[in-house]
Parts: sequence; C-alpha cells; structure tokens
Amino acid sequence: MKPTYYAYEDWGSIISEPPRDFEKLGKIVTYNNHIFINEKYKGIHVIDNSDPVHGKKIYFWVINGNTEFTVNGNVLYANNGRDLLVIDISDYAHIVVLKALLNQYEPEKLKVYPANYNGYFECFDPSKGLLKGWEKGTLINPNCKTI
Amino acid sequence: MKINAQILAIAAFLIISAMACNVESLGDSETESGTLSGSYATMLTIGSHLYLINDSQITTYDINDPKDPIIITTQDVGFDIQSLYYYEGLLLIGSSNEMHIFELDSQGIPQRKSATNYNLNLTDFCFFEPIVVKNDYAYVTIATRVIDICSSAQFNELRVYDISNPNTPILIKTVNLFCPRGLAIVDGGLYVCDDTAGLKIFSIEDPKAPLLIQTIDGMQAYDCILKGDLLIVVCPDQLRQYKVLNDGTLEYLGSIQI
Repeated sequence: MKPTYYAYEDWGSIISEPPRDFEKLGKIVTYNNHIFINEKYKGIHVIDNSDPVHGKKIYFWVINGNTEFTVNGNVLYANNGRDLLVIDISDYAHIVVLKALLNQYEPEKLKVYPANYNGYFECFDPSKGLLKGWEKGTLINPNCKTI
Repeated sequence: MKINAQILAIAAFLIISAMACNVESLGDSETESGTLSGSYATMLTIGSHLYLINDSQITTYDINDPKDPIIITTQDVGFDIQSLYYYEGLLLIGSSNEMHIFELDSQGIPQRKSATNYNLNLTDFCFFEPIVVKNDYAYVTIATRVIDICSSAQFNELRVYDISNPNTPILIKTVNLFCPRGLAIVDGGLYVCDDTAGLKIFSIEDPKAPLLIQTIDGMQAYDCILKGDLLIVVCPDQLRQYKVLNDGTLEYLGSIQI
C-alpha cells in the first residue's frame, strides 16, 4: 500500500458541508450557543446547542489535516497540519479562507498506517501533503511495516 | 490657556482610561471574547493577541485586525508541549514532563516565570497533561495509561500545585485516578475526565484537597468544558451534556451521538 495526498494549498477544498457522523473527536470550543468540535484530520463539526437537551449538528467544515483551532467572533483560526489558516465564518453555511500563514507547524511525523493491512508499506511523508488515503500500487522505498 | 489646560486634562484622562482598559482586556479572555476552550487547547485569543503553541514554541500574533494576524514573536518553551490555559494574566503550558508558567506583560508578550518538572523519570513521553487554575491553585492531570504500550511506569493522578508565587509552584497534593485526562473547574468544583473510568466530580471547597463527591461511569470521558452551569463532556464518538447543580453534582441533560 502507498499513501495518497491532498495538497496543503488546496484552499478551495475548505468548505461548509451538511453534518457528518462523529468518528474520532478531538478538540472542543464553544462560542455563543454553538459547539465546535474537531474531527481528527478532517475538519470541524458545528453544533447548534441553543437547547442542550437536543444539541443538533448543523454543518461540517471540511479542513483536511485539521486538529487545532479556535473561534474569534466571525473568524476561525485553524491548522491544516502545517499552516495556520484564517477563515471567515460570518456565514456558517459558506466559509471562506482569507489568509494562510505558511509553515507555522512542523508537520508531525504521524504514525499512520493503512487499516486492515499487514506488511510493508510506503511511509507517509508529510512534506508531500496531507494524508488522503491508501492505495495499492508500485511501492517506492516501502520502509514502513505494520506491527 | 484655561481651555488648553482643560483639553490637556481630558486628554490625560482619556489616555489613562485607555491604558486601564488595555490592562483590563488582559484580565479574563473567556468572558471578553465569549469563546471557551477545552483543556487540550493549543490556540487562545486574549484581547488583541492570538497565542499558539506548536510542540516546542509559543507564537504571539497581533490580531487587532482579526482577519490579518501578524507574528509579533516566537519563543522556545520546552519539549513536547501540548496544552495552553489562560488565567488572570498567566499562561500555563502543559508538556509531557513539565508545567510552564508565563506571565503576559503590559504588551501582551509572554514572560517566563517558571518550569516545574513533574519528576516522572520516564524515558518515554507519550501522555498528556492538561492544566486548569482557580485562585492560587493549579490542577494538573498526569496519565500514562493513555498509550500504555509505550510507557514502562504508570502515573495516573491529579496533582494540586500552589502557584500563589508563579515563580515557585509547590506540589501540595496528589490524588490517584485511573487515567485522568481533560478537566474543568468552577468555584468549589472540579470535573475530571477519567477515560473509561468515567467522569469524576470533586468538591474543592478546600482547594488544597479535592474530595470526590460523584462518579458518572458508563462512558469514556476524555475532555470537558464548562459553560455557566452546563458541562459538556467529550467522548471519542459522542458529546454528553450535564447541568451543574447547586452542590456541584451533575444532572444528565442529553447527548449528541454519531
């Protein structure tokens, strides 16, 4: 198996979409009656929590590679694993990247591996982009191995 | 001349007021911006600054124009830093083996006060240590069970440090837990997520000696956030919400699943 990549600079992929399932939740922020919670490496769930008995997911903001963020009024500061992105969220249904401060993070050496697979695989290289998934193909330097 | 003197006096008053406001704006980030963060936060906005930690450094950005952050300074903090917490002019930064305390100066720039080693004497750093503060006390959770395959020794505890002098924090109490992770604090109450052992509610009427008053199990709790009398608990695949009652105990409200 070998990794496939998203380009870091693909700002157009950062959009507001309909709600998604929770898979692997990360960091949490609240602002007014909304809860924002990270879906690891994928983006941010937006929840309308006006009624905490019936909190309701309303949007999913797709930000590939995202793990860290905070909300400052109409502006979202979020990482994509490498850069700090400044995103206009004045309309939660239509978010827009305003600015990217490049290389604010050392892309972590993620211990990522393909699921349901045993054996050698081509290591994920964060300098090539964000992890999109895994595919079969000709391997170049398959120096990683599942444990 | 008399008018000029009056104008000068008014100008002086305005300048002093503006300075007072500036100092005040560094007082309480939470109420000011309305944004609350969980205990694993790595970015905080306080007044006209954004603070961001990344593994070993803290960067301060000017956000007078929130849409155009400008880097003011980047400072080294230490190895493997993971969490950022603000309390009354102090920034507390949790790493896998130290509690770092910085004070914001009048320009909003972090100035180091202390770095307190947890003395775990571990060779591996695969655990998380968020911090919360109330009055003169910092509450830190230490958990090595999180990824137990990489840790030879086990430290799973809540620690209380007296930080009345932020230059010299003093460890005053240790409470053993299963695998404590995120935590939240309010006057008199401390809420600790204890992973698969659930949520532990402590009375801190005596801030030096947290007293367990309630356990809510049946969930894997890893972080929480307090918003007034609402406690939101983060589990790996759901959010659970509770109302904080007068005695500090919790009443279940609802959850957001899958």
